[in-house]
Amino acid sequence: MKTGGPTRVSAGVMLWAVFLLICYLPPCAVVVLGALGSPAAKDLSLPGPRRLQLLLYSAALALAVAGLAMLLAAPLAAALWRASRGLARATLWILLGWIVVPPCVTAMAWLGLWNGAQAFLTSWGFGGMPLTGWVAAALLQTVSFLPLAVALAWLGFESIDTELLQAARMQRPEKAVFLCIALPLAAPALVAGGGLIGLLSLLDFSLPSLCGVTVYTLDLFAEYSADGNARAALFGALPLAAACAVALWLSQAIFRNAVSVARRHDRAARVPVRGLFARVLCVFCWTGLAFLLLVPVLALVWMAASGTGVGAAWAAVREEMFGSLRIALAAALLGLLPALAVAETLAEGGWRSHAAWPLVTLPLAIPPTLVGIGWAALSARTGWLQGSGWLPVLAALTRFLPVAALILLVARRRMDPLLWDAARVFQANPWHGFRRVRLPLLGRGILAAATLTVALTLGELGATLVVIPPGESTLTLRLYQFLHYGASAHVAALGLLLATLAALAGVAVGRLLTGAEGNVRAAGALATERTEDGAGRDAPSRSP
Amino acid sequence: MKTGTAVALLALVVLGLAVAITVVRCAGQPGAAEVVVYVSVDRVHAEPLLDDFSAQTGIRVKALYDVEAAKTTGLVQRLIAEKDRPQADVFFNGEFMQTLTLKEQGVLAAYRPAEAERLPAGAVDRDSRWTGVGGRVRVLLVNTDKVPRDARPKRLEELLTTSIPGARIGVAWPFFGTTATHAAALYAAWGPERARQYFADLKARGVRFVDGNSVVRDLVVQGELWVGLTDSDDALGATERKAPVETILPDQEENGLGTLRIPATVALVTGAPHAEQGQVLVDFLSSGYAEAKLQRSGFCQYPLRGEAKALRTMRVRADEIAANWPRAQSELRETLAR
Repeated sequence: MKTGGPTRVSAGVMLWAVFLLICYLPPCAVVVLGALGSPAAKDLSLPGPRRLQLLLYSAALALAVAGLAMLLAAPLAAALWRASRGLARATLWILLGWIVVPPCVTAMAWLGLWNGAQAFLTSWGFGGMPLTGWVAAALLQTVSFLPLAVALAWLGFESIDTELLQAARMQRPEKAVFLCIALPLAAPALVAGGGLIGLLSLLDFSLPSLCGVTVYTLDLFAEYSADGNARAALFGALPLAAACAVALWLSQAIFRNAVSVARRHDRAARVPVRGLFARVLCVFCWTGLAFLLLVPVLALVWMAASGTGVGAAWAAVREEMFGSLRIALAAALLGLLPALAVAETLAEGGWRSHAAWPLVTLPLAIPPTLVGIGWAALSARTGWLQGSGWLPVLAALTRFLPVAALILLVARRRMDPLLWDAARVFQANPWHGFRRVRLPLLGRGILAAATLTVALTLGELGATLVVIPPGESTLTLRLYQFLHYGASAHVAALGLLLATLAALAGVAVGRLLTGAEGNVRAAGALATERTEDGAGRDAPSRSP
Repeated sequence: MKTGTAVALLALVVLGLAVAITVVRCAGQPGAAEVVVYVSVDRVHAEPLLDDFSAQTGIRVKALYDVEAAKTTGLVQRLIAEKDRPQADVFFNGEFMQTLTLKEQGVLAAYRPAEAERLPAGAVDRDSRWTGVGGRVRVLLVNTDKVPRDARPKRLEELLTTSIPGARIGVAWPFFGTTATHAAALYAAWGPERARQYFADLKARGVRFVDGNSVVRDLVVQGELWVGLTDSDDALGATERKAPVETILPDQEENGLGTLRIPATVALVTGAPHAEQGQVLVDFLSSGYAEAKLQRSGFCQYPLRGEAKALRTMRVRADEIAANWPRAQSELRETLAR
C-alpha cells in the first residue's frame, strides 16, 4: 500500500506478511520439515526417459484440450455476450454454477449419452465403438471443461472496450467488426482461458483414465501413494508448476484486460445480430449451448428424480452443509484484509506491482493435497491449532486468497482514480477516508471477492480432507463419498445442490460487480459534498 | 447510510458470525467421553456401526472418513504426519496393506482385542498391531447383455485369451487400493516375472486401466466395459441396483489360484489421546456383532468367523504380499504408466 503515513505503510506490510505466510507456509513446511521425511537425493532425482515421455504426451493432451475447448467456447461465449440479458444471463449463471460440479460427474453424464447412442447404433446394425485412446480422452476432457471454458471466454468478450466497436462500426460492416475487431480484442483473454483449461487438463488424471490413457500426474500420484514421500511429489510436480506458471502468466491477461477497460461498457454498443451469416452462427451457437447444458443437467435431474434423491440427500448432508458454510464464510472474512492490501499493491503499477504478480499467482499452482499436508505437518509438529476448525479455514485461504486479491483488483481498477486521490487529499484521517470513500467504493468488490471465496471453498476437496477435524465434514467430501457408489441419485442431488449454490454465488458476484458503477457515483457525490464543505473547492470529483 | 454500505456491513456481520461459531466450536466440549476414529471403510457401511457403538457404550465417536478419490492415501498420510502428536485413537481400514505401512512407520500400538482368540490364524497381527474384520474378495464383473454365458471368463488369465476385445475389459490402476494389494499378491503367488508379464500382456491387449474399482463397476454397468476386475462389495452394489451383471469368483477350479480375500483391519494408534476408549472401540469393531452387521450391509461377503461360503482363496500371507509390494509398485509403474 502506497502512501498515507507510517501507520498505513506498516499495516500494509503486516497484511502482506499475513498473505505470504498463509500462502507459502504449507509448501515450505513440506520442503523444510520434510513433512514425511525421506532421502533428499532421491527426492531431487531427475525424471527418467519414461517420465519425460509421459510429460510430453500429457502436455500435448493439455494443449489439444485447451485449443479445442477454446475453439468451441469462443463462438458460444460470443453468442452469450451479444445477447447479455434474460435467457443469456441465466445460461451464464448455470454455466458458472456448473464449474463446481466435479468433472467426473459431468463426464459420467456424457458417457451415458455416448453409450445410449452406441446402443441405438448397434440396434440398427452398426458396430459399437469403445471410447478409448488419446483422442477420446481429449474429447471427454473437452466436454467436461467446456462450461468453464465458455465462462472464461465470455469474460474475454466482456472486457472489450465497446467504444472501439462503435468506432469500427462507422467504417466496416457488422461481420467484419466482429471478426476483425471484437475477436482480436478478446484474443488475449481467450488464450489466457485456454491456458487455464490446459492447466486443469494437465493436473487431471481421472478423465484420461476412463479412456485407458496414462498421464504424468497419475504416475506422480502412484509414486506418492506407494512411498508417501510428499517432498519427492513436490519436486516431481515442478515441471507441472512450470507449466502452471506459464498458464497463470497468460491468465493475467484476463484480469489486465478486464480491469483496464471495465469502465467503458455500453451494452447497446455490442455487435448486433444482423445478416444471414450472423443469424446462422447465432442459431448454431445457441443450439450448442443448449446441448452443452441440457445433457449433464438433465442427466443429473433424471438420476436425482429416479431415486429418493433430493430429500434423502438433503437429510444426509444437512450438517455438512452448515459445516461447509461455516468454513467458507470464515475463510471469506479472514481473507478480506490481506487480499485488500495485495490488490492495492497490484493496482499501484510500477516495479512493486510487477514484483507482486508472480508472488500472488504462484500459490494457485500448489497442488491442494500438498497444501493440506503442509498445514497438517506444521500443526502436528507444533501442536498449533491441531484438531481445531481453523485448519480447514487456513487451507482454504492458502488456496483462494490470491483469487480474492485478483477480484478486489478488478473492483479497485473499476474505481475512478481521481476519486481515490480526492479521498487521499481531503480525508480528515485514514480511517475517515476509508469509511466515507474507499469502503463505499469497494463495498461491492469486497462482497464479490468474499462470495467467490465462499463458492470456491464450498467445492474444495484435496486440502480439506487432510486437515478437517475428526467428527466434521463438508458437502464436497460427502459428495465424493457418495460418488464411490456410482452415478447415484444422491450424487446427482448433491451435484445439483452444489451447482445451485455456486450459481447463486455467481449471480451475486455478477450483480455486485456490475453494480459497482452505482457506488462510484455515490462516492463521487460524497467527494463533492466534502469539497463543498470547504475543504477545497477545486477538488476533482466526477462521475463516469 | 447508503444501501451498498448497509449491505456490506450486513455481510460482514454474517461473516463475523461464522468466525465466532468457528471459535466456539474450536473450544470443544470438555468432559464427554469420546473416541476419534479415522475410517477408510465406506461411510455407508461404517457409520451405522459406529452409531451402534455410541448407543451401546455411551462413548461419543468423532469419525473422519476417507474418499476414494484420495486413494486411501489421504488418511494414511495424515496419520503419518500426525505421528508425533496423534489426534486419532483408532484406524479402521477397508483393507490391510496400508495398515501394514502404518505398522512399519510405528504409527500403530500393540493391542490384542478380546475376541482375537476366536479369529483364524493370520487374521490377527503377530505383534498385535492390527486385527482383521470381515472380508471382501476380488471378483470379475460381467455385463450379461454384452457377453454370452459361454464366453464369460472364469480365470484371471482368461482376460488375456478371451474373445472379448481388450478395450472392453477394465481393471483399476494397480497402484492404489485393493487392486495394488491384488497385484502384490500375484507377485507373491506367481513370482515377479510372471506377474509383471501378466500386466504387460494386459496392457498390450489394450485392456483399459481406469481410476478405481467403482469406476470399473460403473463402466461395466453402463456397457462401456463388458468385463471388469473389481471388489465383491462394488459388484454387490451393481447387483442390488438390478444391473445386467453377473459376479464371477475367479480361479475357483480344482488346483486353481483362488481369489484374493481382503479383510478390513482395525488398529489402535500409538499415543492415542483416548487410549482407553480406543481399546473399547477396537474390541467392538473386531467383534462378531460388527462383522455380522458389515455382512448385512453388504461390505463384507466372506466373514472370518464360522463356516465360510465355498471359496478358494489365494494361498499367500499378508507379510509375503507386503514384501512384494515395493517391487510390484515400481515395476508396474514402469510397465503400465507409459
